[in-house]
Amino acid sequence: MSIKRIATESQKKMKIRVGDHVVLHLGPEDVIAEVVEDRGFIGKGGRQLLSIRRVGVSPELSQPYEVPAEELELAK
Amino acid sequence: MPSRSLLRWRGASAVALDEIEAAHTAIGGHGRGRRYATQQINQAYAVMLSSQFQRFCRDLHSEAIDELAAVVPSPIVRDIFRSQLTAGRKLDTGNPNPGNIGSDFGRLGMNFWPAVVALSIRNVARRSSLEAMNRWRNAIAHQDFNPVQLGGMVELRLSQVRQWRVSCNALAQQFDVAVVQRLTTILGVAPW
Repeated sequence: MSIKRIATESQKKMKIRVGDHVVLHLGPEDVIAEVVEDRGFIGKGGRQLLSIRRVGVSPELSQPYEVPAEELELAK
Repeated sequence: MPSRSLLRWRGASAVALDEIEAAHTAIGGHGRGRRYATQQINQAYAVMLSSQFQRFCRDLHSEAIDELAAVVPSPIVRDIFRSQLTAGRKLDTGNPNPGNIGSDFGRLGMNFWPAVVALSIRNVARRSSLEAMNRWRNAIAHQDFNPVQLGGMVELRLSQVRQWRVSCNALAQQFDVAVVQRLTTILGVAPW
């Protein structure tokens, strides 16, 4: 495994906290968001859900919504 | 098997509520001083009960949406689905009154209260109890104790809060069942 790959995996495993900026990969586009609430381990199979708010978008698109923590990466 | 949300309601939330009830019991003294102190505790207990039940409802909604979203293969479609179903929920900012609960769970395409009442006719009285609890929550939050709104009372008794808690316990279990039934219809398998 390359150093770059190890670094990416390690970054993914870093605990994401409220206030962090994160990246959500959506196939053709990446979304930058801020974590606004930790909803706890109540998702499918007990996965952690986080409430995020998109940054740099219009107010209509910046309402918080929930995603599993495992789909997020800390933004650099 | 119950949802994680119901387990949390029966676990951490129940412990927090038991602690405030224990505080009521621990108050010593007699007469007006004690009555004033217990009234403050009863009000705090009612507000905490309402807020803990609000969290349960939000949790159950979030849990249900995550179960549904997990079957959407496209990341971008999944993201649209999640944002449409969880953004701007009434329970994120409003009381867990029957209207807000019905509105948010209605996003799952279900007639929420009719589904809950179909499980047990006793849920009609429990829904009324929930309305009364939230009227008191608002009265306490705004310090506006209008007896017309509060069933002729201006003081809150411990026995009343306990009765609301019994209703919330029953409704939590019934909500869980109603949501499982809805998700099972959509997914073809029970989600939990």
